[in-house]
Amino acid sequence: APVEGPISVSADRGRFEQDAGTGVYSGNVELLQGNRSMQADKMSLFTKNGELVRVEATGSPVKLSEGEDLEAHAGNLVYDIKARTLVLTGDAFIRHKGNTFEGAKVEYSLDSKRVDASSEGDQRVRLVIPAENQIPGNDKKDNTDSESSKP
Amino acid sequence: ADNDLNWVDREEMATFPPVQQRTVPDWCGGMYYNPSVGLPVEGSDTVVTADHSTLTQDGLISLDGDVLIEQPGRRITTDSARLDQSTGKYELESGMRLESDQATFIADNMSGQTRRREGSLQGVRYALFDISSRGSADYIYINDNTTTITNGSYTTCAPGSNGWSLHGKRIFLDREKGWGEAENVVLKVKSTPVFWLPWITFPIDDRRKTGLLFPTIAIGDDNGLDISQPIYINIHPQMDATLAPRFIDGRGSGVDTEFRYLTPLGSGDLSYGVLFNDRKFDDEDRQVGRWTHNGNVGRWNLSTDFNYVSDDFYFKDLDTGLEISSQTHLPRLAEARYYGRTWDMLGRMQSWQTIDPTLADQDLPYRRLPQLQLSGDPSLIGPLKGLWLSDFTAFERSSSDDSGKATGLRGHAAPALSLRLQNSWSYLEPRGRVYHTQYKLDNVDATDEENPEITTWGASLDSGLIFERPTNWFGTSYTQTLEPRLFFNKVGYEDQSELPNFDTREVTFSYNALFRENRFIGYDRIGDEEKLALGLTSRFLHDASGREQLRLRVAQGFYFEDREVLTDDPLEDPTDDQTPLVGDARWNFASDWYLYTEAQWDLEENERERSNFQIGYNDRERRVFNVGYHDRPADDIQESEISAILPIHRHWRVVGRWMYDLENKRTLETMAGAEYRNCCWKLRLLSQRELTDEDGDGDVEGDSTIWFQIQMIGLGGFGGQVDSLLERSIPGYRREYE
Amino acid sequence: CGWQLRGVTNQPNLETLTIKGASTKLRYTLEDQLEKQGVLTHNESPYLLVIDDEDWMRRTSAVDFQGRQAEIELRYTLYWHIQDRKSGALLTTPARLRAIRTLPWYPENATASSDEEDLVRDDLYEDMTIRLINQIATASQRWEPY
Repeated sequence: APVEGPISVSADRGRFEQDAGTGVYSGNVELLQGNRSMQADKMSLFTKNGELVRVEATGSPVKLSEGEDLEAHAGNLVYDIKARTLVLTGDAFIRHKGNTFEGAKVEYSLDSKRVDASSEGDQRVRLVIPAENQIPGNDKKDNTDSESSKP
Repeated sequence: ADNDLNWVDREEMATFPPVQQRTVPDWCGGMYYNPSVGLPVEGSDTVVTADHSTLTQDGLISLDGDVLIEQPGRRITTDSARLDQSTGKYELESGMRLESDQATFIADNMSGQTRRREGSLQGVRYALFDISSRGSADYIYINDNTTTITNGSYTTCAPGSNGWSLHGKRIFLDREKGWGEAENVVLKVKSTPVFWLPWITFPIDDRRKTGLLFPTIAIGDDNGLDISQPIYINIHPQMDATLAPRFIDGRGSGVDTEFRYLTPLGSGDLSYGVLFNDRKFDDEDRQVGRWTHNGNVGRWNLSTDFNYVSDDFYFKDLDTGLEISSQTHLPRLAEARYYGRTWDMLGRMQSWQTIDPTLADQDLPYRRLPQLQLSGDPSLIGPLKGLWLSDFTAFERSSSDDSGKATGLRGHAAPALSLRLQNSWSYLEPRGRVYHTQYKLDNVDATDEENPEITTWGASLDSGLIFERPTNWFGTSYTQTLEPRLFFNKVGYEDQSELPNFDTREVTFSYNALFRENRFIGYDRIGDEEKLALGLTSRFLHDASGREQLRLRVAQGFYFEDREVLTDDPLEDPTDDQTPLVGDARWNFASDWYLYTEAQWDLEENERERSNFQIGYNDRERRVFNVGYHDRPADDIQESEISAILPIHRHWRVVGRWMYDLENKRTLETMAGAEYRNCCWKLRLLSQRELTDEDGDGDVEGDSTIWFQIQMIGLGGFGGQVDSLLERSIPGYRREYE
Repeated sequence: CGWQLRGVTNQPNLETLTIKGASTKLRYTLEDQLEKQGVLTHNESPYLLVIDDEDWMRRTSAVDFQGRQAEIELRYTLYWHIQDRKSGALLTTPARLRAIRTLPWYPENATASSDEEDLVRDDLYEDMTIRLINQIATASQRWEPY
C-alpha cells in the first residue's frame, strides 16, 4: 500500500497510556495526514509495537476530508490503517465526486475508492446524484458523446 | 386489471388538494393522472434511497433492496439497479415501476441511457397520459418524443373496459408529429378480432381530426344509402390528403378527395369530388372542385377561393344543409392585399359561377379581371391629412351572356383633404373630396357614349362629443358614455344616367351607412346628397377590465333636397326628407351570453324596415345555444331560427336546429341528433331536413337525410362531412370543441 | 345627472407591444390604432399580445321565397391574452371578444353584395381593435412600467 505519510494530531488535551499504547485526545481534536484531515471532539489512537494501527473518533459530528473528491461526517468514525478503510456510523454522510451518500453505516476503502453504504432499521441509504452528473456531454473530459470513446 | 396505471376516477380526483385537481372529462369515467410525481424541473438532482448501495471509483453505482429513484416529475421503484455514471447507462434488472407526469410503465426490467433520455422495457404494461391510452407489450422503447411498442396493444378505453383495442407487431407513437403508425395490425372489438390490416396511420392528438377507418353512413330520401369511407394519407408534416370513396345507392359511386398543404406562402386546401354517371342525372358525371388558400408574407396577405361545380344542382343533390343548398353564386377569387403603414393596396381577379338557374342573364354578376385599388391617408401638415382612393377595374361578362350589358375598363379616383381636430372629449373633421370616374367601354350600341366620364365633388363635416359618468349595475362599477354625433354631408349632383352600372347598389341602410360620404357602394354612382345625420351612442364600459358590456346606438338622417342619382330599384324613396330611424344594441350580459339586435323604423309610414335579433350562448365546453329573428318586410322575409348543441348527460349530447319562415308559415330547416360518447367510443346519429328548390323551377321541396357515424377515439376522428354540416348550421359550434 | 366631458382618453400605459398570432389584417389594423395612441409595435417589447385564436364565420341567416341566400351573418371571434414576453407570466387572463353583423344578400347583384361584405368585415376589424385596445389600456394601468 502506498506510504501514507506522517500523521500529526493536535487537541486541547491529550493523554498517552504507555502500556496500552493508546493516545486519547479530546477537545477540538484535529488529525492531518497528507491531504486527509479529520476533526472530532474525542479521538483515540491505537498503536501496536510503536506503529499506529487504528484511530477511533467521535464527535458531533466527526468531520473528514480528502483532497476535493471526498468529504464526510458521521457520529463516529473508525480509521483502520492496516485495512486501509474508513467506517462511518451514526448518521453517516459522504460526498464523493459530487455524489452524496447518507446511511446508517458507510464504508470507504482508501485503495479502491469504493464506497459501501448500508441501512439499519428504518434509517435507509440515501444517495443524491447531482444534475450535472447526468446532463449529457457536460463531463469535462468527455467532449464526444458516444461512450465508446470513454477512457 | 390495469387499475394500477394511475387511472384516477372522479371520486379519487376529489380527494386531491384543489390546486392539483384536474377536470375529468364528463363523458369518461376518469383520466390518467399522477400529481404525486410533480413536474419535471430542468437540472434537478436525482435522490435515491435503498437498503444498500455501492459506488466504485469509475462511477459505477449499484443499489439493492427496495430501491426508490426520484427526480421532480419522475419516480422509479425497483429491487435492484445499476447505474454507470461515466456513460449514463442504467439497468433495472428485477420488476420495476416507472411513474412520470406523462406516463406509467410497469415492466419486468428496464435499461437505458440517462444522457439521451431513452429507455427500453421488457414485459410491459403502460399508460400514456397525454393521449390517454394504455396497453401491454413484450417490449417498449421510449425517448423524449416517441414510443415504440413491439408485439403490443393500444387502446383508449378505460381500464377494465375492452371496447376496442389495437394489437400490432409494431406500434409507433410520435408525440411531436401527433401521429401513430402500426404494422401487422389486428383490431379487436370487445376482444373479438374484427379485422386485420398490414399497415395503418392514425392521429394521436387533436391536431388533425380527420377520419381513418370510420365510414360515414347517410340515408337520404332521394339518394337512398350514401356511404363514404375516408382514408387518411399523411404525406408529409406539411401535407396530408384524404381519399373518400363514396357510394350512393340511388345514383352511383364516386370519390371525394381533399389535399391540404402548408407552405411559407400560406396554407391551403384543394378538394375535388366526382360522382360517375349519376343515374338520376341522365348518367352525367357530377363534379365539384374548390381551392382555398390563405398566406401572410410580410405585410402581404395572399388568398384564393376558387370554386367549380359541374351543374347548378350539385349541392342540392349531393350535399346537405340549407346553408349549402341556398348558395346562388360560387366565388372564383384570387386576391393579394398589402397593408402598409399609410398605403394599402389590393389586386384581385374575381368572378363567380352562378348556380341559380332562375337568375336572368342581366342579373348575372360582372367579372373583375383584374381590380387594382390603392388607398392611403398620408399626413400633410400637422392634423391636415390627404385621403387617397383610386381603383382601376376591367369588367367582363361570360361569353355566353346575351344580356347586352356593356363591358370595359373603369378608372376611379376620389382624393380628399381632411383636417381632423380631436381631444379627449370631442372631435371635428371637415373633409373636401373630388370624385372622378372614367370609362372605356366596348360592345356598346352606337348611340351610347364609349368613354363616358364624370367629375363631382363632396364636402362633409363629422363632429362629436364624448360625455362620461360613473354608474353602478348590480354592484359592478361601469363608466357610461354618451356620444352625440353630427355629420353633415353634401355631394354635388352630376347626371350619371349615361354611366354603366358594373358593381353599384345603395348601401344597406344601417347606423354606419348614415355616416358615409357616398350612399352607394361601388364606384359607378356618386350619390348626390345634402343630408344631416344625427347619432347617439351610449356604452357601458366595465371599469375593472375596460370591456364594453353594452352598447346602444340610435341615429337618423334628414335630407335638405331630393336625390337625383338613382339605380333601377332604389331601396329608399328619393323624395323622402328623412331616413328611417335606426337603432342597434350589443350586450354581452354574462361571460358566455351575448345579445345583438338592430332595428330600423320608418317614422313616416310608421313601419319597420328591417330588423334583426340574435341571442346566444357558447362556452368552450361544447355548450352552444342560439335564437335568432330576421325580418325584412320589403322582401317578404321574416324568419326565426333556434339552434343548440347541449350535453344532457355525461355520455349524451343532443343537437337541434329549427329555422321557420313566419311569412309563409313553413319550416325551412330542421336538424335533430344525438351523440353518445365514452372514453374510447363515439357514436353520432343526426337527421336533417331542409326546403330547397331541387329542380330549379322556383318552388321548394323537402329534402331530408339521416347520418350515422362511429368513431374509436384515439384512432381517428369522424369523416369531415357531419362536422362541417354542424359548423355551417349551428353558429358558435366548432369541431375543436369535440 | 353626473355627465361631464371625458377627462382623459383611456390610453395604454406602455410604449411598445409585440403582437403574435394575428392575421395580417388584424395585425396592421391594431398597429395603426396603437400608433395613434403612442404605442409602437415591434418584436422586442417586454409585453407580448398573443392572439390565441381568430375565427371568422360566415353563414346564411335568412333565405328568400325560393330558398336562396337572402341574408348573411358574419361572426368574428378573438381569443387573446397578454404575457410578459421574457418570463411568459400572464399579465391578463385569457379573454374573448365577439362581434356579429348581418347584411342582406341580393342574388341579382352579387358583386355589390360581396363588396358590402368586405365593408362590414372592415368595420368589424375596426370595432374589434378599438375594444381590444381599450381593454389593454385598462389592464396596463396596473403594470409597473418597464
